[in-house]
Amino acid sequence: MTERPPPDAGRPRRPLSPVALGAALVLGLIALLCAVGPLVWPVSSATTHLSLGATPPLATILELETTGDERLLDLPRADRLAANGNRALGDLLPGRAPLEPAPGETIAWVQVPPVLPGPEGYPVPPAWVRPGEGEAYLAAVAPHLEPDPGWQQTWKVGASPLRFLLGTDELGRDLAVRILEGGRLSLAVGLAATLVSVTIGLLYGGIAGYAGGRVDTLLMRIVDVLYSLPFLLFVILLMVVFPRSLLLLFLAIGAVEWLTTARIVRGEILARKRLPYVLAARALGLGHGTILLRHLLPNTLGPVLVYATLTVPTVILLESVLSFLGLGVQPPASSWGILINEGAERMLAYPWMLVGPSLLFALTLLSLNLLGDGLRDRLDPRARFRLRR
Amino acid sequence: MARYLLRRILLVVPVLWAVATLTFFLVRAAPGDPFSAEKSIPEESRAEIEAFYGLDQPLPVQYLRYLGNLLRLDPGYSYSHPGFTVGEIIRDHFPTTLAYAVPGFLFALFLGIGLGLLAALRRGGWGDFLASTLALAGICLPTFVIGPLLALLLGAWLGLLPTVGWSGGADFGAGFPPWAYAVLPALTLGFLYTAFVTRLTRSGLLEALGSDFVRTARAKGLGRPRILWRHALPVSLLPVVNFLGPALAGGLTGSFVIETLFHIPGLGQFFVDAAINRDYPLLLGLVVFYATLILLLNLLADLLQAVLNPRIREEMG
Repeated sequence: MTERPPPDAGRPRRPLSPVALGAALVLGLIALLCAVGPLVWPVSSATTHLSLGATPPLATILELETTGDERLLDLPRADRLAANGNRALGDLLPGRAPLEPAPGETIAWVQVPPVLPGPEGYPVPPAWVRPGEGEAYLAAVAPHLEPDPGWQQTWKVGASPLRFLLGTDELGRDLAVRILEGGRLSLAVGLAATLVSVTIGLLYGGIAGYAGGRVDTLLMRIVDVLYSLPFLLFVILLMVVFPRSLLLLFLAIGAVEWLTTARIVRGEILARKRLPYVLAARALGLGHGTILLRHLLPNTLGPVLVYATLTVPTVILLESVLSFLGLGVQPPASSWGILINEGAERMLAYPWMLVGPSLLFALTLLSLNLLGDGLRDRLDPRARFRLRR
Repeated sequence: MARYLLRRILLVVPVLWAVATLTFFLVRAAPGDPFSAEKSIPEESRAEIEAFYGLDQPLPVQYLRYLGNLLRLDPGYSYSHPGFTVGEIIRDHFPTTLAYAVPGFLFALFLGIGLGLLAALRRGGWGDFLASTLALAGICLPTFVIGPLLALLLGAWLGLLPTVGWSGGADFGAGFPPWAYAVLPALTLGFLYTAFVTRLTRSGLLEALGSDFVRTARAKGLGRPRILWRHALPVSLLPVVNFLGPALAGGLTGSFVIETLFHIPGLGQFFVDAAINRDYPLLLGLVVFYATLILLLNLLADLLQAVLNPRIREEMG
């Protein structure tokens, strides 16, 4: 990183680019949604619908009215089950024609509990029958099963008022509210860890730059060495060997991301420490600590803030990677990393579980980066082509 | 040059020692031990196991033994994979990681440099548009997002490639040649780097093309192709080479994610598992192995930089 003159010296203020403004707007919206959304959302993320399972976004949900338990079913799955059930029913009861419901016709789902063995020792798959034909169906199946009539049930089908914007996960939890809660956690970790890293970077870089000479060389050489180390290994170690907690997560991530901040601060301090106002402060008899903390460091905040905007996405990414590997936030708490991991594991059957969190995550990263780039361009146009590390 | 090289190699040793020591005491400072999470085992068996792995010795003795083992390049037996030494695990599974990581990196380098060239030469054209779009996509689609999406698209919906697994393992999608299993991981790993390399090549080349030495070359009457290939391109690749160091460290992260994602029996998965299982010898051995790898590759990147840039070459003396 090259040293540069104080960036605010008499340069005309440039307006923020429209792209960066848009990004800031989107980001504010996401942050607001994540912060407030889970509180006002009609469904809690802890509400499970075990009988429902994973539901595609906005699928119509059928309610199977029965004696005790809640039974829900989404229409796409009902279609799948009907198809499967018909085929299996044909196997079980030779000669029975596949059931083809007329459009709009309600049919009932008859389930033989899977614990009961069928004719060849396999569980009997569910089947679809017309309302009123359930008893007859069960009567036809019964002789083929172990003699225990306790399991026989039929249900009537009706539309349920439930409707999920982004679908549900395998436990029937509302994915939308989980994504928002995950976002709240990811964003909070991002901000807190960035704060930790900026604090460390400010102090370290400030001391190196202000002390100069051998201290500076030594401190910066340490930074160079640390740069070349696989720090993720240490974060993983930290996360594994100590009892996992959010606080540790902040600290571990923050302890890794301060290096570049330290370099930037050092450069800024080097460029400023010979300026007249520092000399004036010395002449007034202020101590070195006061000069550094009260006079020099506050002046470096501009570039540091800009870099911090670019650190937030890096940190969010790191947290997500850790959570993705199962080393970060622990379920049932959710973060975007966890949701994407769950989605990735089940993407063949339930692609919406992957697409929803991925999109919001990608949008957030994109906005943060665009905003950071925009801020940096505004402060330092020359940096436009420089590599962000 | 030789002196510089020697100094750099000598610097690797204390850094490695620091890494090894830090990791050792970090792992030992943690509450719990490798056998506490398991089902309770009889006291005698436990003592026997601990004696076998040397865990009954005082900590300083264990530390010295561990350093000695590292010097002999043999960190000992793994706890969680009984009967396998750490050396054997690295030997057996690192090639698996390399099998998709090397093609992934090469793919990223070639495609990235190509796209960057295109973008810089046809500035404002469709190549430039493509490059900047890719760069943005690279930023906002990290490995563990683009991986599943690619698998969903190429594997599940188009059926071109196996979505998970590795050749030799359980064969779900039969009928794929062994190399097909490496394609999705390589693409996933390469995606991010393609974006970065494109961006770096583009900005580097734009800067080089506007610089004094290119103007001099043009004034000498050199043709455009020669200026581009001999003068501008090598210098414009400097940031790319510079980026290789951080990229390798990032590639490591990528390998953990990719191996978890695609269920590949590579070394990255062993690291994550070793961390979760508290397999001390494997964990420590792998940390030192990775650190050595990264330090050496960083060194290589620095040397490559010297080859490309005459100014740096002179500084090294």
